[in-house]
Amino acid sequence: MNSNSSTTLPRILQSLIGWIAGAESREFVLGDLQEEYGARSSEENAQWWLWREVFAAIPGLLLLRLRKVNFHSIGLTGLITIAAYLILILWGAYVTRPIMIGLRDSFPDSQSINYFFWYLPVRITGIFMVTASIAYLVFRDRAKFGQNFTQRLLPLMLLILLPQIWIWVFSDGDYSLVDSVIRIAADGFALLLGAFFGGWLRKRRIQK
Amino acid sequence: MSQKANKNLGEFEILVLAAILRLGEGAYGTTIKTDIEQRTGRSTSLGALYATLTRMEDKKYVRSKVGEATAQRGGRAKRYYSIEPLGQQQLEQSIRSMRNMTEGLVSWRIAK
Repeated sequence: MNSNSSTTLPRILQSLIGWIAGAESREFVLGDLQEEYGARSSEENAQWWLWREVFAAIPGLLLLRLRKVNFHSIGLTGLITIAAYLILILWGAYVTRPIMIGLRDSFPDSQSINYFFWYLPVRITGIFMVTASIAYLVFRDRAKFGQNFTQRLLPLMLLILLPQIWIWVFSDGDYSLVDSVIRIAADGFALLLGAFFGGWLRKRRIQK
Repeated sequence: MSQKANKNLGEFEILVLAAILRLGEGAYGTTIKTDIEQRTGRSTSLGALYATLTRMEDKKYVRSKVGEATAQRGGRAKRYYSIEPLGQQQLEQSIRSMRNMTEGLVSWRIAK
């Protein structure tokens, strides 16, 4: 059996399989493919066989590549994030916003100051409750705190905060810089506090 | 026996383990694939084969070791597989279950 250029795997195929298989399996998969292709090189349909083999191998190799990805954790994070965001939108629309608008209209002379004065106790209460509930459900034990925080709660916090950061960066006069900073800081503080409180409650329950 | 150990293997897992057992020292990707294709007549993809082998290695059914690189493989090494006692036990149990389920049925169909 030879290994001249006519039986060498095409470079594009080597790159494709090498990329999909990953460093762990690349050498063995390409070696097996090369060996079998070399044995079939005299056959008329060797090229066709080769490309059929490559396309047939892609799903399995992708599965192999993705086997270490924690889909359960990613899925749970996604679900929690969507659920938390929906709860916060509903909370904002039906509870926080009417209360804050009512309070703002009660103090027409110093609108902005009073708005944010009431913003802190009213809105962050909701954020705190939502986050604490999530943390209570998510945190299982002390050892997994870091993993849960980075894989579940951090994406949640970022997703909730991103719209407000977006407002801060791109708003054209509707929100002042100081107002935006207060909103982001308040929400972020509530998120962290809620997460801590939920985690603390969970740990207490586990220890009992 | 634990609940995990009682779980029967899938069809492709049985074929792969049987091929490894049959090939002995020479069981690696290409030879396992060729053995399955020749004996069963079914087309086997390298991707599915390696995904199955890796999964069974995680379950301690098989173990692997890196072999020599050859010119016919473009200077790439082989990964040799051998069956572990747990894998052999699982294979025997799955085959026994299959025999128990098909024995009378096959006789009946042949007689008819």
